[in-house]
Amino acid sequence: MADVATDSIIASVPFLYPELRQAVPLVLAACGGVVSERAGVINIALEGCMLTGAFVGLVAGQSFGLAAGLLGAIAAGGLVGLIHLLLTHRLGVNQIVSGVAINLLALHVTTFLMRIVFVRAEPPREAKLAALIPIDLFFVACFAVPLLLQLGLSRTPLGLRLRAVGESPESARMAGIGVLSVRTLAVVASGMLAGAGGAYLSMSQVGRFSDDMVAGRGYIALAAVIAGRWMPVGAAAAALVFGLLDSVQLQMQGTAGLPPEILRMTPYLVAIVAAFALRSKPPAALGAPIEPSRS
Amino acid sequence: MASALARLGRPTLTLAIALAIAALVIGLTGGEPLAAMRALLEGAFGSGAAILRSLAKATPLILAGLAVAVALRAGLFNIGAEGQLLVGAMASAWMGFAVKGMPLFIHLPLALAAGAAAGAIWAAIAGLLRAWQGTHEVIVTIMLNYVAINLTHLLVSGPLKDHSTLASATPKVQQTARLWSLQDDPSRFQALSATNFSAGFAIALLAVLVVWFIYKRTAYGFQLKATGEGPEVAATTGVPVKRVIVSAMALSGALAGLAGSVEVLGVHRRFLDAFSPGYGFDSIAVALLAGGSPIGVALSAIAFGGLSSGSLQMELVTDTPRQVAGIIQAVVILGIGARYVRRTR
Repeated sequence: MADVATDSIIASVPFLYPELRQAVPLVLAACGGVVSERAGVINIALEGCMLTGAFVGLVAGQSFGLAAGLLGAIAAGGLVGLIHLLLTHRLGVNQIVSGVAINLLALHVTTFLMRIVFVRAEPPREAKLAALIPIDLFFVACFAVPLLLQLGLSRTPLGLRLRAVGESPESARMAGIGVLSVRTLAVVASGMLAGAGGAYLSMSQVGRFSDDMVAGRGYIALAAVIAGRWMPVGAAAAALVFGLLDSVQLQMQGTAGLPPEILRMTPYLVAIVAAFALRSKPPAALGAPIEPSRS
Repeated sequence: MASALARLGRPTLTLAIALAIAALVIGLTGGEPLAAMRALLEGAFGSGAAILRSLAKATPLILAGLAVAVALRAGLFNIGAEGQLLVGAMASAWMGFAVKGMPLFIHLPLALAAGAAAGAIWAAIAGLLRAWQGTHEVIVTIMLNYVAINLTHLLVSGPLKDHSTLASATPKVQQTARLWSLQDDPSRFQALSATNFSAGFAIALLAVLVVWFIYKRTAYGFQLKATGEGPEVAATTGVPVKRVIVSAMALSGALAGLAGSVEVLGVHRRFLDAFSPGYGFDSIAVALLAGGSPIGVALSAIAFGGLSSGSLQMELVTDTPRQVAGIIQAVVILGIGARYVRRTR
């Protein structure tokens, strides 16, 4: 598989390259998770945002070119985020219920459309791209996005507002912050980042879409958010470690030694341990609904 | 009776709307909505064999749906039914094939109990962390799903693999650990023997009765409800909230584990890797549609069981992708969604 990106500069760094290849989608989605959760919205729907991004990116990329495909994927992820926000903040659906339903919907709708658009089309088409988005673009994003987010959250007025909304929507509202608009922005941005992570999978790493291709990466990203203690740089670091585990696991396949399943379950165990042992505390108002009429 | 009918109203309406949306999706993507819906319904409940197939599909959904419902009663969101189902299935399979020379009336209950116990322990981890550390049970149960998927995969492709078969599966369970099933007597039941219907369905109905009894007739049932409605208030009235949280998760996990047991002991007769098409995840929709009533869980599991087996028929007859069933399920979750979840943390 390494042949797809021989023009990559980072490919010349032998240790980093396979690790980063597995970590990119995790880093981007985990950053999305941090943005949403710091604003107080649980985003289990990361998985669905990634899958939608992967599918839309491929379809749009096939018809309108790679740039349009990437933008389409980011927009589609953002749209799924917006749906999550509307369901939870306008229709009063519980944030977890909405996330579960969105993931289910994204999985079945993309699989359904895969049948309609590709497999059963006359003549059948392949969900495949002729050219790939240069992998270096995503490698750069993988370092730039967490750093920028970290600065943005800690040093900018908008970041301060976002954190205030996540800690106490009531106080934030009394301080004159538009709680609903901040949350909308955060959840849409979260979906866009996850959508970009999905686009990486279908448009850069493998260049094709297959059913359920995200395969739980959205939940690993969620694990990275917790292990990284809701900090962009921390979550990205955790995602890098999880990516390393994944690449080790892939390289070890077929060889004797540690069973790959042990490495595959490690991110989830790390998240559970981190959730209680690191005294990793989520934003205080995480998951709490807000009164839509008053914001 | 009137109130019972009223309680059926909203779920039925939601289901109808979801079916209508599915028909719309089929129509918009160039299919034939009416033919597809007819094939779906016929495949679900159109004949004796179809009904038995749907009930067989409903069997694990009833048990796993009860699991999610019991946790919700205590205000807990158990997203981990899938993982609990898998460890339960594995424990039952192991107890079923590794233990030899016991009579049926000891071996079978033992194999079922092993599944329930494994599921209970798996879920109790989340309950303990929730009660003593305040760790969100949603996070822990989600993560434990993936741990269980990998753990059972590891066991079934290595230490517990039956090397006489190419499939990733454990050896078959002993005759003495098998639930009665139509597949055991093909000459007598003819075509019906291929429906996967087993005595597991009776176990599921029994579980419905037990949960109903706990809710309505026991002090523990009251404690569950009080904890779910408000742990702070419950604590002031003397409810041991932490113990209720842990035991509710354990009870929930036991039911989910049992869902895995009946699949192993009644249908596959072994642990087959990836045998669950996501029963544990579907059970969330089952529990939400049921709206807190154990009998409702049975009804909504049968509806979803029918949907699942009917969608195969629909794909076969009208070439409509069976993922329509999943879309219907998601719409149902959203339609019914928030109403029965009292709190999230």
